[in-house]
Amino acid sequence: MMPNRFRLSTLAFLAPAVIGLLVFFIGPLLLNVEVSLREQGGGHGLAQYLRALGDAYYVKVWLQTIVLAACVTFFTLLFGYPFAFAIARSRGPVKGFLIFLIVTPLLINVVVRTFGWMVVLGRSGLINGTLRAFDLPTINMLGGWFAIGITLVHVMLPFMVLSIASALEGIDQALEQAALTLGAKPAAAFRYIIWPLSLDGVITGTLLVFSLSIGSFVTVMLMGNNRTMVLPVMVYQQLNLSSDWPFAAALGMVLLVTVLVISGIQLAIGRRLRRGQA
Amino acid sequence: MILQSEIRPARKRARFLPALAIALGALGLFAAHDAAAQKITVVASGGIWLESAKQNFAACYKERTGSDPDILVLNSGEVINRIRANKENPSIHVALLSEIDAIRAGREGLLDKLDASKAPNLKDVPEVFRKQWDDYATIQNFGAMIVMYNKDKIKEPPKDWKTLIDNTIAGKYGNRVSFPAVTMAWGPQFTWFLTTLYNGSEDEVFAKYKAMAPNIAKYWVNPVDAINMFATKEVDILVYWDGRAYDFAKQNAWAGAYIPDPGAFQSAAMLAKVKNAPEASWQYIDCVLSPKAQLGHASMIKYPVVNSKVVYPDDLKAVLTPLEKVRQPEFLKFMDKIPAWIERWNKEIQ
Amino acid sequence: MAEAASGLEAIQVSKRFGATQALGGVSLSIQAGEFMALLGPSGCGKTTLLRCIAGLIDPDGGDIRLGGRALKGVQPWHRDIGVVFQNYALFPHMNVAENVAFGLKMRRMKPAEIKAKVERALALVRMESFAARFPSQLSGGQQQRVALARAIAIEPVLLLLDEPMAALDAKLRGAMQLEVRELQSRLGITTVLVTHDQDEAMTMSDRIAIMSEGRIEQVAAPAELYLKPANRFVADFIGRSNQIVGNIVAAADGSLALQPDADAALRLPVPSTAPRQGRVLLMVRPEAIEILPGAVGVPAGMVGVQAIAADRIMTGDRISLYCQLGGLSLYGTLPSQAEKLAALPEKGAPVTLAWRESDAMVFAA
Repeated sequence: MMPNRFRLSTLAFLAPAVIGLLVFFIGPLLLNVEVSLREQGGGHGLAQYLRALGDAYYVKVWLQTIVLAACVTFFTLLFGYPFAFAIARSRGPVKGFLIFLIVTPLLINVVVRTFGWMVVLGRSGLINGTLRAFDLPTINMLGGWFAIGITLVHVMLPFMVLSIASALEGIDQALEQAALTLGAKPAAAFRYIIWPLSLDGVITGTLLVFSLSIGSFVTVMLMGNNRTMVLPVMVYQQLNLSSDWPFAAALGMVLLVTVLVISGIQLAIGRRLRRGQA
Repeated sequence: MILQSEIRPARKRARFLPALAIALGALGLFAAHDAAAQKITVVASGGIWLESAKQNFAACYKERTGSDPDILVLNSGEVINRIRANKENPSIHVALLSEIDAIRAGREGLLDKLDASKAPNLKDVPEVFRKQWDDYATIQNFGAMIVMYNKDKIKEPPKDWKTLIDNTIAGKYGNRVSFPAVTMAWGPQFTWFLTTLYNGSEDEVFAKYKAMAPNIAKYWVNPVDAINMFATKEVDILVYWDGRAYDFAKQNAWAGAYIPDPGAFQSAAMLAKVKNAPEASWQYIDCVLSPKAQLGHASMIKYPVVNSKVVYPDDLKAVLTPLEKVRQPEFLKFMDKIPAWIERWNKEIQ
Repeated sequence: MAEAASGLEAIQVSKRFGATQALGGVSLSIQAGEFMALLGPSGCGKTTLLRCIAGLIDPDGGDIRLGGRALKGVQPWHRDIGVVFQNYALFPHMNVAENVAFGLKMRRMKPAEIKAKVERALALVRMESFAARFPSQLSGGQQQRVALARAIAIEPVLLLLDEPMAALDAKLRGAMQLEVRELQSRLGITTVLVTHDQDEAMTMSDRIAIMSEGRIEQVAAPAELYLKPANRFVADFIGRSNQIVGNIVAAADGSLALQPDADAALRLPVPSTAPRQGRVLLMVRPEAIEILPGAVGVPAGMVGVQAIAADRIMTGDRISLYCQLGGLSLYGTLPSQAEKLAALPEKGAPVTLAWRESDAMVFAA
């Protein structure tokens, strides 16, 4: 009697989540798959996918999308880890301030934030203004991968930093001290103790940042140029300019499958790393 | 966990009841809103456009029907997608669309033909503003893409489009020029306009786009981004909308704006009645097209309007691109080429 | 173990945290092979001193010498000091063997050598069969053994134990105390134990340093601490006692007596070592008090008082009898044996409490 009743009530609790998932996620996804399979004549087939994957240009855009997200993830991790470390090790008002600092990008509208970077990177902006003041040649940093990358890294940092910081905070400081007394120099203590124990946070952070940045499109559209084409911008164009829904849907599915596959690979690597360093 | 200790406020539970009260209140408002049956939903662009829609169109509608319309700020693509989503019971009743979306919507049967018996002011809107749309939509106001330039840097701005393009290719302005991209919402129209300068040859226009690319700071896609680039002197020459260009030049002595020869292409906001929308929608359309509201709209947004009874005061007339200077794109001729143009643009202009 | 045990010398070690003087010039000398406990209430500075020795905290002043070598400026990873942390600090992502091997790996030993040393260390704590387990799969006592094995595997010149038994239940704690002590004396390794548990300190240590408010109150062997506390703090902190505060007064016969604050009409005998005047604290341990039923008079060679028996309280191996003496309450204890219990006076019955003069301690109050 008991186990049965328990299972029923569990199901009842899960029902809203399951229904919500079906209605708002699985349903639209299936519709999207249907749209992506439409062909010009009216039937269904793989024509849109063949068009997307059979054209060197679209394959290049697909690769660019992946490389952009991977680079953003890498640099977010590179800059985010030390920041997370500082947050995990600080106390009181300093900690509050650091968290505030890292969360601010999330409080600002994406367009405003992007324009902020334009002011910094622009030809008469902060950096070039400084260069000019020292009679150095100015650099056009806007409208390219660099500008997109820096803006994305900025907005993605909080996701990475907060994931890693919460993992780092879960590590008992006595572990590091134990490693030191056992003869580990600080670098070794980091490599053998802190890094492997923070891997969960790193994996969460990189998964979040990767899937968020592979889908980012406002930033890419504003900070990029025609060379910096990525799949989300492509989807937008196909929807709003070309009015080509089936192709847009197919590109969207390619993006989704890409994110799923790469996330799976990331998880597997993370698991391997954890085991390897144990 | 920092997420718990630092961010989540301890007072959260205490705030739950007020939040619940607000939520219930909001539900009540929705219910009340449902009860007022003839409420209509219309569309405007943001900023000053929204202000004008409130002050001129919605005010007139309120005078006539006693109720306020709901005004949504949406771009053309969003509008047509929302109408497509629920054709039987549309969530938008009077649409504001781009020219091409208006043609598509008409063809897809999403719109009702405009009817002068239901919106009498239509009689005063010349046919040219409706013809290409087969009366499924009418131009509400129009503008043109002209040239803005930095007077301090550009002493002699090129008289005509071809010279501008050739000078840009020659690097006469460094790489401090910005043209709209084909992938900008009105980019295909601009491309069509350029073909009219080059014997109707798309190939030649794309060759020019490609040749200009090294000396173009950015082919712009986002209008706010574009005017920002000019305002921060990131670029010295910008191809931009006339109304905003003149306005900017008026406020900044260093900026100038002019129409290069032989004129410009017309770009317009299209007004349309959505199929299955309530009858009251006609009142709103008639309001938008009324001489008084049209003049009020033109004075606020600095773009010409379409009611032939409107008489512009002189100072306004000076900044409006005259009808004889604009060419209305032949949408029916090129709109089916747009996907190909966009693909070509993406692949060729790198 | 290969390395010779080294003595430890702390000279005037001081450390301040903000407004708190955690260590106020502590000097302590520990001989090679000795087991020394740092005992005191929380906040007394014992953990700070341990961390200074381990190199996890830099003292503000003073010097710490280990086997004649000054530790100032020597990083913790160069000190060769084994530490067992309070919650063991086992690396959760490594199994038992990897935990024990960690210190050896850091010393870049050959794998075969590491393997042999890990096996030996695990054998010492009888954990050989758990080598492949992860810390989360071990009980508290097993984790403790692994932490100990990890600390001694590096063959340290000094072993530091930071409240190592605090997380164990009482039974296991007793067994582990004996086991660790036995292991320590077998290895002959100099050991410093930090604890707030006096039973633990007494059970395990050769000598105990009692600490309070950043200083050392007394360093002595457990029996000496108990029987001859150097000051009021130590006497109070170690064991239990009757404590009576009052003034020294001269009796009619010229001998000295204590006039307790609690009842000015009373006069209690004080030992001849007591000061001749002023306020004092008289302390008598309850087990030193002999309980004689009836107003029978104090036996020869002892001092004592007449009182009225009040409550008795059973505390397991001993039973306490509280007695009323005017406004004063005194208690004595007896082993919990049936015939002793039967002989105890009933509540309200007169009783004589007697103790040897040498068992009374007097401190200035």
